[in-house]
Amino acid sequence: MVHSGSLPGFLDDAGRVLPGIYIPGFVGMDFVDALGPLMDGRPMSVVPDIAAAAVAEAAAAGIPDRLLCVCLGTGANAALVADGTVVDLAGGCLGDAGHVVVDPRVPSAPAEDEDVSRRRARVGHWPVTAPSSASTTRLPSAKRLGKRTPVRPSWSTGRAGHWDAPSHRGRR
Amino acid sequence: MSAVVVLDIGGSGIRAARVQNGAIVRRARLELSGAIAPAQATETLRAALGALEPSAADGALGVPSRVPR
Repeated sequence: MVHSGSLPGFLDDAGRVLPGIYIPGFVGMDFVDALGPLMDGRPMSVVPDIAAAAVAEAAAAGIPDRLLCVCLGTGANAALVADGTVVDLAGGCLGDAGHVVVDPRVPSAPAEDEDVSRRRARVGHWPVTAPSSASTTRLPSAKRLGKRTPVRPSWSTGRAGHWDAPSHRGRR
Repeated sequence: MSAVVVLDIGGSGIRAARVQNGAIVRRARLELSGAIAPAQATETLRAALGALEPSAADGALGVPSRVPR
């Protein structure tokens, strides 16, 4: 059995929730540590929600070469699947193309910290696997139970577009 | 039997689902009346997981929210 979770925000390299405006009570939480005792040692993946949506839509569509997943909610957001992977444009955000707040009642995001800024300068790709078996579908894990090292692809460095949006792009 | 438990955490609540053999067999939604305190976060997640405990009432629910292609 595999357990997975998605959330409207960033994760740091250790899998902890970074500061954001939507789930302030979860900031700093390590989901695997918090829920691990309930999982009986089974793997667990936690990813930003837009990445989870992109993985699911790509799988449902048969893993196309190109797929743009657009999610409308409190905000509007999108993630790109290219060549069978979710394009990671911004560190732990796993493929966000940007974030637009469509609800003016949502408060402004807190000031971005240095760590988030640094992560935005990195580019990588997450693999998307076929949905033939739910237990083997490999989500782009931030962290898996029992392994302290986050499961991440090989990162390449470089600038990926502009990253002027606030630090809550994980919200869809 | 393959099974997946999924939690979708949002600002206003948590959606949870249990998937078995490729079908959603249980859904749950935990509404949050406001921002939860850090001390409540773990218990809130556990409550969402607890709502997915297998029961005799579980059955294939499909994915009604999906837009047909």
